[in-house]
This record gives sequence, C-alpha cells and structure tokens, in this order.
Amino acid sequence: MDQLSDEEVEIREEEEEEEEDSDKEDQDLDKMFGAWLGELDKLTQSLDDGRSERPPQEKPPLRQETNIANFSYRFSMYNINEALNQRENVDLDALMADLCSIEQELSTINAKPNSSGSMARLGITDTKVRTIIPLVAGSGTIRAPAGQHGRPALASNFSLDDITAQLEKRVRGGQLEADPRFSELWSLSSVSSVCSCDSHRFTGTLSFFFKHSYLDRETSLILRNIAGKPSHLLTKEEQAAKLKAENIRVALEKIKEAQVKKLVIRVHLSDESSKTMMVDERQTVRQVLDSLLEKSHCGYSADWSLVETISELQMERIFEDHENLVENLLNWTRDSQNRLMFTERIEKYALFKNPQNYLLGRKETCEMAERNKEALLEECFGGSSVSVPEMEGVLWLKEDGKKSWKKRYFLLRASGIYYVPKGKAKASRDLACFLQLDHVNVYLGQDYKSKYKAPTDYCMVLKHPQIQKKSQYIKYLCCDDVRTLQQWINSIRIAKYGKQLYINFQEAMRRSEAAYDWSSLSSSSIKSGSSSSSLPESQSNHSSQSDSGVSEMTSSGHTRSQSVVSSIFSDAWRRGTQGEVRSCSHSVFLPSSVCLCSAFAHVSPLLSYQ
Amino acid sequence: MAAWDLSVTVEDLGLDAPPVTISVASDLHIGGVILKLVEKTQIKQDWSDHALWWEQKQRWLLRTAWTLEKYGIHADAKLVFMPQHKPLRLGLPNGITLRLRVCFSNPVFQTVMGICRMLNIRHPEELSLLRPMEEKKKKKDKNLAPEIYDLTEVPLSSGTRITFYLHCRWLDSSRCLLQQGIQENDKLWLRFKYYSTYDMDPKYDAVRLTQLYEQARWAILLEDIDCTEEEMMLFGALQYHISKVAQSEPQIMSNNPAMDDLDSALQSLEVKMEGEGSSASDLPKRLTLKGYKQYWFKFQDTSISYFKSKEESIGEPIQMINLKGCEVAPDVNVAAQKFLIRLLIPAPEGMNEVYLRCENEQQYAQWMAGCRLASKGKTLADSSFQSEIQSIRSFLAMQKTNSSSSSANASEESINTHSLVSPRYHKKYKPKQLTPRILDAYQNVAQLSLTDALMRFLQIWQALPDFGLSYVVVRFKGSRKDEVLGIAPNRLIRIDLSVGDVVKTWRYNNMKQWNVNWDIRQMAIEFEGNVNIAFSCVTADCKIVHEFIGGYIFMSTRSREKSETLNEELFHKLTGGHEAL
Repeated sequence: MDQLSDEEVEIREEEEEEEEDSDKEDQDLDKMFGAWLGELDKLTQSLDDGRSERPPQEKPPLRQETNIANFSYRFSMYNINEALNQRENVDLDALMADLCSIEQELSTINAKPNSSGSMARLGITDTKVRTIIPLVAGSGTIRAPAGQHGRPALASNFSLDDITAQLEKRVRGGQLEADPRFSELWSLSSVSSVCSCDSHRFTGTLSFFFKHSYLDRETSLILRNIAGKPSHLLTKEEQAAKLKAENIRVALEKIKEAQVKKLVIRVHLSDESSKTMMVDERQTVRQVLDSLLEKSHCGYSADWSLVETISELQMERIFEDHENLVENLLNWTRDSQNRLMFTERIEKYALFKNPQNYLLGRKETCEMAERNKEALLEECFGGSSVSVPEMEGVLWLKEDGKKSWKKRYFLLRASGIYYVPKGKAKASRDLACFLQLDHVNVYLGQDYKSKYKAPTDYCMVLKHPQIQKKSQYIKYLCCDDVRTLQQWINSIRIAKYGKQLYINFQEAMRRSEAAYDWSSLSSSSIKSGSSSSSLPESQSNHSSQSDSGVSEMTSSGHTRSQSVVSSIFSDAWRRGTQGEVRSCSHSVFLPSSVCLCSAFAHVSPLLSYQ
Repeated sequence: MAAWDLSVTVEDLGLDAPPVTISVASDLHIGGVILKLVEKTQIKQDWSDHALWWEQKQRWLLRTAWTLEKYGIHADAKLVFMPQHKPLRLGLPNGITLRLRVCFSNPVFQTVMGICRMLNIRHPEELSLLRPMEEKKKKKDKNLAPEIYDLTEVPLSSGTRITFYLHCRWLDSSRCLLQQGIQENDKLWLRFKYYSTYDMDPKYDAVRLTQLYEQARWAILLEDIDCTEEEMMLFGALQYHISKVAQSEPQIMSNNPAMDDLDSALQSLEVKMEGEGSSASDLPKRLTLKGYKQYWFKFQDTSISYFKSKEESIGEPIQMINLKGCEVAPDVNVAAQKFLIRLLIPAPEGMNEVYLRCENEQQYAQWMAGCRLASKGKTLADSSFQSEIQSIRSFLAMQKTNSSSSSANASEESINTHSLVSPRYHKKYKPKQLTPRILDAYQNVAQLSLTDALMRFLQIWQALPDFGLSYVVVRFKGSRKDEVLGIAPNRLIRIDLSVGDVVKTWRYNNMKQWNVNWDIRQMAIEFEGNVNIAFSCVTADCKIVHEFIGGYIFMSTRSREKSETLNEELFHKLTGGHEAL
C-alpha cells in the first residue's frame, strides 16, 4: 500500500514561503486542521497497514478493485494533509465553502429518509461504524493514542469506536472553547467522519460542517448530547437531529460510492495571493471558474481564465472552458514548479469579440459593426463544419537542440501545420507536414529572446500536454509581431477545438449576463429569509453538472447559493477573528465600483446576523 | 369569330404520324384545344399529364384558361402535344445512371425537387442538373462501372489546378428542361451544386449522405480539390474503411446495448484468460538495438506492466506503463514475420519510444488492439475490442496479399490503392509503399461506423482550404487579362490565373446589391464601403454566375428560418434573373 501512495499523489502544490501578513488565526486553523487531518490519515494508514498485514491467503480476490476504492479517498486526503503539514497558507475559508457545498448537495439527495430503513439499506450493523465527532475548534491539537496504529482488531471488522471516544474526550476536555474568539463563530462546528470498513475495502470520506451550511446550532447541540445514548431513549428532537445526521451519512455514502476523485488545488491570483479549493475530477474548467468567481466576487467577465504556467519551460496556456481541469493537472510532475493562475485574459475570447481580426485572414486590424461580427461568427461557427482560418506566412522555427532559428513558410490546415519545403511551390500536394494537432496543445512562450535567443519575444510552443521538461518533441515557433502570434494561436485553437470554442464563449457570455441578474436578486432574498433556511434547496448536484443533463438554470442557481454560504462564512469569520478585514483577495480584482456594490450587496445584511 | 385550322403534332401517335388538324377559333382557350385534340385522336388513355409545347417560341402552354389569342397563337404555330413528364437518364454522383421520369415543363429547380423526392434526398435546393461532359471515346467498353469518371480520361496537366469545365454546364434552374434543349432519354448529371450542406442528419439523409460522399470522393480522386499527402492518405483510408463496412453492414446492425454489455463482458473475460495465459512478449528497449529481451507482460485497464517471468507476475512489475494518450503505430512485415508495436508514450521529459515485439500474428492482433484502445483511455472490456482485433487481422491479411501480389487474384481483402488515392500518388509511390501509409491512417478510423466514417470524410473534405469553390473565368472591368473568380459559399475571390494566388476576397455579408447586364453579359456588384466590382464572364454564362451568387445567398438564409418548407419564391427571386421579373 505504501508505494501506492506515491502514485496516488500526482499533483502537488508549489511550496511557497509563508506570507508575512498571514494572520495568526490562519496558522491556528492550519494547525488544527493539520493535526486533525494528520490523525485521520494515520488512522487510514493504520487501517491499510492492518489489512496488508493479513496473511496472503486472506487477500480478497478483488485486490485491484480495492485499491481503486482507496485511491480516490486517499488522494484527496493526502493533498489536504500535505498542504497543511507544509504550513502553507491554506485558504481554509474557501476550502470550507467547498466542503459545505458538497455537503449541502448531498443532503438533498436523500430528502425523505427512513431512519431505520436507510440504516438497514446501508448495512449499518456493528460491523460498520458511524461516528460523528462534535468538535470544538481550538488552536490545540488532537492526538489519538499511538496504540491505535496497527490494531489487531483490523484483522476482523475494524471499529472506530475507541478512536472516536478518544478524540471526543480530548476535544471536550482539553480544548473546549479554549479560544473565545472562536466560540462565537465556531461554537459548534461538527466534523464528521464516516468510515465503513469490511474485509474487502476501506473507504472513507471526510466532511466538514458548519452551522451555516448544514447543521444548525440546535441540531449540533443535540447531537453532542446524545452521543452514546441508546436510540430508544431519545426524545423527538434528538431523534430528529439524529435523522439529520443520518441523512448526511447517507449522502456521504453516496459520494463514497461515486468514488469521485477530488483534488485540493491552489490557485494563484494576480496579486500574488492564492486560494485553495477542491476540485472534482469531473469538473470542467468552466465549472471551476464559476465557483472561483462566485467566491471571489470579482465582477463577472468572460475573460476570467485558468492559466497553466510551466515555469521550467517558460510557457503558459489558457485552459479552454470545456477541458477537464483535473485531467490537465495530473500531467504535472510531483516536483512541479507549475502554477495555476486565476486571472483575466482578454486574449481568451478576443477571437469572438473581434472576429474580423482573426477569421478574415487580414493583415491589419480593423473595426466591424456588431451585427456583422455576429453574422461572421455565425457563418464560421454556425454551420455543420468549421473552416480553419487561412493562416500562412513566414515563421521562425527553432532548430532541434540548438539556439538557432530558421525561417520557413508555414501554413495551417485543419489537418495540421505544414511548411513549404525548399524549392517547392505552396501547392497543397507539395506541403510537408510539420505536425498534426491531435496530440499537442499550443502554448505561449515567455521571454524566449533571452532564453532561446529567439528573434522576437512573440513565440508559441507546440507540445504534448504531458511533456514537462525540455525535449526534442517540443516545437518552438517565433512570429515577427504579436498580432501574427495571436492570429496563429487562435487559428490553431479553432483547428483543434472547432465549434466547441464558440460554444464555450457563448456559455461564458450567458453566465455573465445571468450573474448580473442575480446580483440584484440575491440581496433582497437574503434579507427577507433567515440565514440557513433561505438557502435554496436545490436538487442539482454541483458535481453532477458535468453530466450535462442539468439545466443551466438549476446549476447556476445552485452555485449561487453556494456563494452565499461561503460569503456568510468568510465574513463572519473575518469579523469575529479580527477587527480589520485583511485585504481579501476578491476585492482586489473587482474591476469597477459597480461590481463591488453588487458583490457585497448580499453579504452585508448578514453581518448583522452576528 | 372565324374558325381556322390549327395543326398539332401528337407525340403519342408516333414520330412519323402527320399532325392532327383541328378547327379552332381565336377565343378558344387552351383547355378547349386539348379537349378537341383528344377527341380527334380517338385514343382512350390518361391525357392528364399532357400539355402543349410551342416549338417556335420554346414555351409550354400551361395556362389552360388562356385563349389562343392571348397566347398569340396563329395558324402557323407549330405545336406539339406531349406529356410533361418524360424519361431521363440521370447520372448520380456515385456513378450509377438511373432512368426515371422527370418533369420537362417546370423550371429545373422544381424538376430537381421532384427527382430528390423520388430519391429521398432532403434539401433539393443544394442540388442541380448539369450536362455531362462530352464522351470522347465511345469505343470504351460500356460495362466499365463508373463511365462518367474514368480516371484514365482525365488529363493530368499539373499546371492548371483549377477546373472550369464543370461549372459552365449547369442548367438554368429557372427554365424548364425542354427549353434548354434537353430531350427525352437524354443524359444529365445530378450533382450537389451549392457546397453548403444544411441540417445533415444521417437518420433521414442516407441517400443524401452517400451521394455527397461519392461526389466528394471523386472530387478528391480527380484532384478537383487540392489536398496534402497526409490528407490524401486519410481520405484513402476512409474510403477503404467505408467500402469495407458498407459490405458487412447488415451484420453490425444488432445494436442492443444490453447485449453489447454482455458480449463485451464475456469478451473481456476471454481476453484476460488468453492474455495471462499465453502472452509473453519481448520488450526491446530503444537503447539495445537488436537485443530483444523477453519479459512477461500483463495488460490491465489502460496499462501494461512487465515482469521478469510469469512466476513473478504476482508481485511488483519491473515497470508499469500507462498507455493513455500515447501514440501507437504498427511496424509489421508479415513476410519477415516481424510484428512490432511502436509506442510513443508521453512523459514529462518528452516522448518515450518503446517497441513491443510479438511472436505471431495472433498475439500481435490482440496486443495491438489493446494498445489502441488503451491509448484512447478504453480498457479491454470495451465493446470495440473484438472488432479492433478483427480490423488488425484484416490489415495483416492485406499485407499478405500485397506482398505476394504476383499471384494477386484480387481477393476481397486486398487493398486496391488505385481506387483510393489520386493518380498522382500512383506515379509517386509504388503500391507497396502506398499500402502501409494508407493502412497507417486507417488505424485511426477503423473503429468508425459507416455513418461516422462518411461524416468524417465529409468533414475533412469540407475543412480543406479550397472547399466549396466553384471557378469561372472572368474579365474584370478595366483589366486586360482573364482572371479567375472563385465562388465560395460565403465569399467571392479573385485569383491571379498565372500565379494562382488569391488577390482579393469579397464577402457576401458585405454585399449590398448586384446587377446583371444581360446584353453585354456583365455583372456589377456593390459592397459596403463603396466597393464596386464589375466583370464579364468568359467560360460560363452570366446566368450561371448570377445563380451561384444568388443561390449561396439563399442558402445562407436557411439557417435563420429552420423550417422544412422550401422558400421557392425567394430562391427564384435571388437566382431567376430576368425570368424572375
């Protein structure tokens, strides 16, 4: 199992010096979570150890399958843990919001639970253990006794009872409301860990709850009080609370069953700060962008992009909205210096804003009436086939392994990039294929004049996304001016993605329009309702948006509600922990004061809730 | 009113029969003339399709309520009484010639609509009729299949890559067949004229799709449209695949998803057993040129792992290679019993080249199939695994027949490169060189269904830079030399005939109006921003150019309406010219 963990984690966040202005609370939280997660990780390991210690003949026949089951769980665990242990400034706030939203989605999955029925359905007998640990946060650490590791009990059906008890005792006894600043806010945050364990597999899912998101204060209190009580002695309220908790557990079971790989990623913002968030392996770049936008309250514009920068090769690429983020990030090596940037890039959709400069093969930029632009786009992308813009001209090609650049006449066709061999005319049949676009992406080279002695700094790079280091398989091309470069890059994007690119743009535009509508709506609706009950009970599952079956309205409605949750939390947290609000990342990016107002409109009324 | 004699030739009486003479008055309407005529012939038959054709004026007298006076018909008029629908030999894009009864009295546009209804082709506005090329050599054996497109008859002058001959032969869509000198049993071609395929749905467009494919195929084989060598090989591969799948199509029809699942599950079981039982492959690393070392290989999910021996395969592999996203290429020589799989595996450091050497055909086919699927992220359990193996087997079989071509009895499996790529490549490469290149491209399309393969072919065709261009030779106003006007679905281009370069592009989007001066055969077009161009047509008739432009503008209006009904009136307005006035 141990060597597996190496492979599990194919992505790591860049190690980064701690920010000087990171406040103490951050660190405290870090510590707390770090310790807490470390604990869980150890538990996991001990479970794993325990299992691998079993004699080989007891090995389940479906070993491979078991590994997969573990994989998804440990993947995310490792990342969180790692990030925290490295004392990185994890944006717990954001992370929490993510987790909250996952919880909330899941809580809606099983709307009408039958307590005993669901218990039976899930096979909750003494072989499976369910634990809910009410945890009051403090700056202290929680340690499980070392004796937990490699318990012999693992050979049979492992139980978490004891560990839970230990944890609980420590939490209550030692650190209960140790920090008054937290008590106000975190007075009852419960952390639940649901583990099921049988002889064949161990999977676990970790989740965090906050009173704002799922469990209200009362429920949590009740839950704390009834811990250990036999079920027939429970009061109505207690039973209701238990039911609620049960729903969560069922939901968690579901998530576990889905075995969705989740990554905790760090997204860098252009002011050198960063955000940590969790992404689902099914999420598209668009979905991740949406949730980042919701969280950072930056004015919505279609230009917001996730940019991959490969510092070792000095190149970057804007991820396309339809791409799968996790898939792309998994190409990074373990020790990668790569970064994921969340930033506005006008070149992302410049193609659609001024199509006349890209689609007409003209040498000079020009203006065009809006209706003509639309007609042009419709003409190019609306039909059954997309024609690739006619791109051709002299470019500089870097010779393999050398720092010298050669001039060549290149042409772009739908089937790839070609060049005209020496002494030949540019008739199609004489063209030599430079490369085909199926397996390569186009990157923007940065500062190649000094790095590779390029004739200009307007360079593009073509390479397989998996290549992360210098290689003969990377092709470098240099253009005379930035306009030519942008035309080439965009034309290659059209050749590669075709209509999808236009669909992405239209979708981005639709969302930006919807975002404005919502900002006016949300402030009033939140004012009228109470904080937790006003959350729309959306049936849509955030992560299932990628299944495309979800209509646009429900999905966006859901992400909005998530935004409210996270902002409630973030504001409360900030206010409670310190007097002045630390320069939070989102306000920096607001492009205009108008957006600033609308973004805060639905937050401010909630501050009085404290 | 005075009665006078009108003589009418009745076709049904035979060519040699004398005209039938009836006594009429000038105020008699056409319906009355026909009634008298029918009575006079004393033939009992269905005359409902018959109408009068006025030979001198080259027009049909279809308005039965109009009087002779109104039509201006006098005793000297030569009238023919004949059916409006007559048989016509119709050459389809796929080389088949049909004999069918079409309307000779309506505008060609409507005649085409009727033909398309018969052939079940939607969107008839995209097609039209044209006169076939003069058949120079009549001595050719008539039985040779595609008599229209005989490769041997195509002049391969490498200088002119533009073909004009086609576009001067389109019929005028606003006039009827008879007016354009088309007689009963004449031969015409039915072709897609406007390269703006609208709303293609394989479910309803089986005929349309195949005919368009055939037209595209011949355009490529005859080099009416230019493409690169890579593209040609892919076209060749797709053609090969399409013809193969088309033959075996009925067997593939069982499309029960549940059965599919069961089948694939069973198949995956078979594979697992076979794979673990009998597949020891060699792993030659690049660095050791000839030293192939034998390892025990295991295929799991999308990864291959290898072990020192079978016994150690329970433990940790020496290496595990995930094939997802890698490039797989064959390196096979059946005669030399060389079965190599070349893997180009992307890694952070670049691409790793790995060669797997298989012992025999059987093993190669399985491992190759597995590698191909894995590179696409599919596992052996995927339903396409067996068919992948099959296609690799047939690929090997082709090599066999090819290598022993001396006794080539043209078995079904053998690949006839002559029918797949243009003659240029037959000159450039020997079949022995051509076959592997086509087959290389074939690997990437071998899994496509018939429809998908057809669609893919069309997509690649449509993505060619010169796609959709119809060329005519024109002389621009004020210019002294002939130039080429290319008419595309969305634009006009001016091409320098000597160099072949595009000099100027005008888009229909910016077009404000165009005028035709029918007397001096000149077209004048005005674009936004005070851009005016004028040219006279040299190779094709002015009407043809006019119709092309109007037709494309009509095609572009379709997307907005999305209705099934064809706006015939608008088409006529845009293309009719003076007929429309």
